[in-house]
Amino acid sequence: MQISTFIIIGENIHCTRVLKRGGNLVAKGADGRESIVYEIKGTKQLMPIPDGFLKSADWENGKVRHCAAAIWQGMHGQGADREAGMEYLQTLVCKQEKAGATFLDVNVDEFSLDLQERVKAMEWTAALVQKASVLPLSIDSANVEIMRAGLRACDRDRGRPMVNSISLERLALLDVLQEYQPAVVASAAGEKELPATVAERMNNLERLIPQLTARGIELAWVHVDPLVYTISTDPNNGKIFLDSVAAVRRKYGPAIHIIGGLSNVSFGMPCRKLINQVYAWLAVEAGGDGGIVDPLQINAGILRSLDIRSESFQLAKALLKGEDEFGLNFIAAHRGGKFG
Amino acid sequence: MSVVDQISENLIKGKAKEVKELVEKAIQEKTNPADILNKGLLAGMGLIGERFKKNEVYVPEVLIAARAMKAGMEVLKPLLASAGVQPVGTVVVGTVKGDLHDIGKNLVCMMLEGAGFKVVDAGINVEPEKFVQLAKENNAGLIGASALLTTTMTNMKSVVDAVKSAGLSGTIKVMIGGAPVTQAFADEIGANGYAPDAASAADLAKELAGKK
Repeated sequence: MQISTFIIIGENIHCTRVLKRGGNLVAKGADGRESIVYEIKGTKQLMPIPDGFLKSADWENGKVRHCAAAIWQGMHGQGADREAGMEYLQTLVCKQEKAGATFLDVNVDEFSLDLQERVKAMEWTAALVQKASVLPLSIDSANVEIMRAGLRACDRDRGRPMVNSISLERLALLDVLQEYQPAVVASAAGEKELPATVAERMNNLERLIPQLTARGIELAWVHVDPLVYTISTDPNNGKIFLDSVAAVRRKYGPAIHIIGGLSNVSFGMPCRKLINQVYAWLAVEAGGDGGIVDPLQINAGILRSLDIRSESFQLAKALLKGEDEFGLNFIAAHRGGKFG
Repeated sequence: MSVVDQISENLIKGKAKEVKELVEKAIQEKTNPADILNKGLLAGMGLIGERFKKNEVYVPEVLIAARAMKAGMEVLKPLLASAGVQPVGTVVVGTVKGDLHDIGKNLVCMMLEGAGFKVVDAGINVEPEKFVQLAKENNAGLIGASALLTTTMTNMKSVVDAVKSAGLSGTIKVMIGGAPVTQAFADEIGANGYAPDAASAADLAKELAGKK
């Protein structure tokens, strides 16, 4: 199989992202402050974690939301703390760009409970990310005000920004399409519930996509997300998404893009990276051409270099196609050390 | 190894057929139904919960253990009723209005059943009043509400408020969970408890039901 392009909506500037306490990336600085560790040109740097984050339940539970902490430092921190927050985010952005991201996804929906604070966080983060990279942004929000704030902040010269995502449950976001003419992630979610079958997905998309084209968005700017569910709770979930990808390609032809939050598939399983990479490969085989993924883990080059005859690829493929019920062979192989 | 220990061991391995047969065997041997439940089925699920909390087992393994427990329960249930063995409590569980994410909720349901609760699964996108109505209909002392988004998390307060305005704050306790939820948020909205993961949710439910 030839994999020439793989559209990557880089998912890492996202306020739910956590680092684990006790790992290599969270440490105390010389001044005794809990910090997040990053590197600039091979030199270790520290971004102090804001006090509010150290009092959070996340912290008690052994986690720290690193992007949110960095945005907080950048927006509200002082002096060197503020600089470190910005530098940290820019480091994440540069890594994504270098690894082949097409769009940089920015999500601040979890930054604060206060809407105006989230709007400000979107404006601030969108501006900062664009300073660090030449890529267009993907504005990721369920809220129309935050979406508008993000799109307004986008520099049009670098190409169309992306709206992530529109679905039948989020029709309020249709309003921004005419004005900004963005690229669009069209999710197969229904008005009230998530689709279970291929047919339900197609039905939802058939009702959604005409509303996008009616607002001047051509199919070449539509990125369908047929919705990836986790394999660990239902062995059929892997195959249902792949079949949906094929069905969308058959129905809408070559112009439309088909993506997905591919790493969802591996939630609750060991060796998530392997599963995610093989799933991206299978999605391309089914007619897909991109994903909302971490480009350090999945990009066209990585997919081309996968050894499809290897035992690990075959074990992951069987799991993802529903041929390894409940993934017990896969888990056993993991425990047996087969994946290194 | 006693038959109840065998039940527990096979349940941990997710062997539904064996668990069902062993429960039948235990019943034939006149084992106390409460022992089959507590020392066999629930002990096994408790162990799975502990291992899950420590990341020693994966989600599919919890799933098949829960399935094995269900197979055993089907045989045991009629006897429990006639022996007067009551569930630890009844919990209504659902995702709040606007939230369609049910993986976490489903795991919580499994863990609660594994802890001996009767679980009423209200599904996804559940209106606050619906939580209260189902709790009343089923005589439930607990509501478990889940949300995965900051935007829908605010609807958890509506659940707490709905319980309050129905005048049932004393009898129905509300516990909450989900990725953006914290203990501080639970305190802020007046929920009775917060759990960071499915296994802890079962522990919390027992605590709130006064069974721990």
